[in-house]
Amino acid sequence: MAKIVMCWELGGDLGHVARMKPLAEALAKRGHRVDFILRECLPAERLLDPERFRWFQAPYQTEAVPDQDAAPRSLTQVLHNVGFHATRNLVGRLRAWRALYALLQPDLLVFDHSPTAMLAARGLRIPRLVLGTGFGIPPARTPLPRFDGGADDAGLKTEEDRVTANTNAALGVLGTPPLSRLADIYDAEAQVFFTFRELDHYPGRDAGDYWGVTQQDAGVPPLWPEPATPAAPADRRVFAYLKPFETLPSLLSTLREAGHPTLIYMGKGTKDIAKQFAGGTFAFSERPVDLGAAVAAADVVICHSGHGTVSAALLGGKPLLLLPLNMEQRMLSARVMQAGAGLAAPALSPEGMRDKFLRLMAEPAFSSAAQRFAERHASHEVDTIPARFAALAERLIASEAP
Amino acid sequence: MAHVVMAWELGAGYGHLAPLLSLARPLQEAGHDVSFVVRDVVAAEAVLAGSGMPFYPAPANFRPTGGADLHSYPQILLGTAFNREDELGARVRAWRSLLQALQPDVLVADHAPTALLAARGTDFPCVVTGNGFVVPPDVSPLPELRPWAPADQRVLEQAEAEALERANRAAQRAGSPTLTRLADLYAEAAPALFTFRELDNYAGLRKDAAYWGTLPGPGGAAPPWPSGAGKRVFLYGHLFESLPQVLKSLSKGPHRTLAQVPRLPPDLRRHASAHLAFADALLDMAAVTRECDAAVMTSGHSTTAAMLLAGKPLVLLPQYLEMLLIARSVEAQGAGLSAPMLKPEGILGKLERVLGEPQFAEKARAFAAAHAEWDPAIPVTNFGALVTRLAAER
Repeated sequence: MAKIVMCWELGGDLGHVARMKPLAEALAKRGHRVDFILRECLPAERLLDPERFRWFQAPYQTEAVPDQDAAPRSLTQVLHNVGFHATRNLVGRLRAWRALYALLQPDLLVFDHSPTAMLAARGLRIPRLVLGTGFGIPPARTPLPRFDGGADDAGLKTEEDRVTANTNAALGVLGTPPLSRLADIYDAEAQVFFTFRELDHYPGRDAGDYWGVTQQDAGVPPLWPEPATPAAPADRRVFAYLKPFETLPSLLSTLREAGHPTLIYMGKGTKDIAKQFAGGTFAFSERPVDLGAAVAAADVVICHSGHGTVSAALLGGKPLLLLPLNMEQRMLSARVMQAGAGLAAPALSPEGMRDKFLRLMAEPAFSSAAQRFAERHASHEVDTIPARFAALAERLIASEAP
Repeated sequence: MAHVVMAWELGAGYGHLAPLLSLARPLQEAGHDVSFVVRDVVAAEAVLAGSGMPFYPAPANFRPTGGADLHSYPQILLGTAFNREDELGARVRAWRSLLQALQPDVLVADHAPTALLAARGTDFPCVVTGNGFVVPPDVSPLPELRPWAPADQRVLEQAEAEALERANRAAQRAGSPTLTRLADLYAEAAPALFTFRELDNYAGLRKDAAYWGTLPGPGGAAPPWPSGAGKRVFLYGHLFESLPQVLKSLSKGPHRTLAQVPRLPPDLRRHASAHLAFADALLDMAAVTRECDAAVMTSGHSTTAAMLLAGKPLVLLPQYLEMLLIARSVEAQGAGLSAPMLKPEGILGKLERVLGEPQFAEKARAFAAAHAEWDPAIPVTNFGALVTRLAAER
């Protein structure tokens, strides 16, 4: 039996714990002890069996950094924003991570979006496995690339030098050798990309072990509306997975005019708008919908370009209208467009969303590209990933310490 | 030898850690192992670096929603530790995991209600420490904290019932024994009250409370007062909106002001002058209180007590309920004035009054005289004896 600790430091919601859950269950099934160190405990309470798993609070930068970059253009600036802005903040967190490692004595550390946790593990001779979508694992280069894919510039390098200096000063306090570049934070004995090469947020990565996606917790079965009238274009269905945003009513009006049977899940705080648009060709789901089943019955998927929904749509061969709300989502939407399997309307303007939706419905090329994606990954089986992961973990545990 | 775990869940700054360290050091010197579970790991590194005592992150609500108009301890809990049943349950389990891994012989909880909840049903004893405000009395319902402007009693009763219900649901989820009254959370632990009766807002509701007095600060550098003539004023505490105007005025004299404001915006240092100096390092508070003539402070509990023990009058700038209660108790004793509006003219005018009108210093000296027998070693010694006894009784 080995002791495995799975860490999550940055981000929100349930996604990180949801991704690790089937992996942890496979490890537990093979007799290993799995503990979690988590940014937020609530996802664990929601998703994990407390009889099988323990969870601990992760140290993270809980106070807003004073000189935040409001629109970070690279991971370097994100790191600045999450507590790499000052050596003393880093040292405090590194010590707390190290204390937890010393207490839990892991034989393997697994990291999901956890740069400080990874930094703390340097020099400890504990095997490290980092997992994530492409966004969570930057390319091993310096300076760290711009999110928008633009060319390096002097500012990028200056910023990276500053954050690297903070980081190395903190490592120095702990007696750990310095990094030669910021990307070295992500040094690990294994990197596993829970995405597809085409959906890697950073295109053109030299090497990458792409495993596809892990199992998502199933939502409720999709309940599609009946077509409003026999004349309605009932043969095409739209599935939309949305959060509230300013021009959401315009989008819903467009979808209503189009008249296709439309199933919509909008998350919390959207009851009023759901009431306003309820009925006719619309069905609103109050709970998260089983993505696989919804995609299978849909002809077009509309979402904010979250990795889970995009993957599910493309594995189901369905084209996407993408309404990215943040940089991570914009990066992924660019990859979907590059694959020809969708259109993005990042400005969220009523006309832009409408035009692109109509093009998706009218031009079969998008659907064909999505189907080609599905065919390329037809052999992708989510069910086999946990066992494969457990085998990799066991290999790392058995191998020579780094 | 025993393993003592010091837990701090709610609050901010160094006000919890520095006193806990002064309690931990003698335990460590006596051969015990001491670990910390802390709300703020950056503050912990600042305070505990080099101590050899590890610290772990506390499972805490880092997005408290507490309103400005809080009237009772249960209301404070509802906006912080007990914000939601599911989050509280998740954190109780995280505390449980950590305590199970740490295996304490004694848990010392400083403003750590979730730690106390998670410790219920385990086999180690708990100590509740802190100033009066963070150790509610053994009564139900818990009292109105603003008796001069009370809230509707039914609202307070409802808040207490809700806090109790959330605590009990979370306890049930985690398999812990439930509470009959919210106060049980504290009443079942051994108290270690690090305050004086005059500064305890719950003094009237405690039976047989032992007041051990405040804990010594971490010590530090000699205070770098501006040289020359003029009365010495110590300006200490959090940022507040009119601080720039106050600094500007003090920089012109005639007093000699030493200002210590953590996270002071660098541009405010432009007010440094022959009459105004800024201190960045930790200061030797015994020297500060001995040498100053008056203090203007955001009314931290231990600094307030230190000033009164040295017989120095105060102008207090309370920004939160806890500080407001301390400021009111100081005013009630006549040893200073409170300037809760934080207006520069009010602050500066009150400073002139406490410096110029002798009754304020007289009342402050009366506090000092009343506690002349008190020895700063008492709280540390008593605490050490309590923890050692509890550990030995296991």
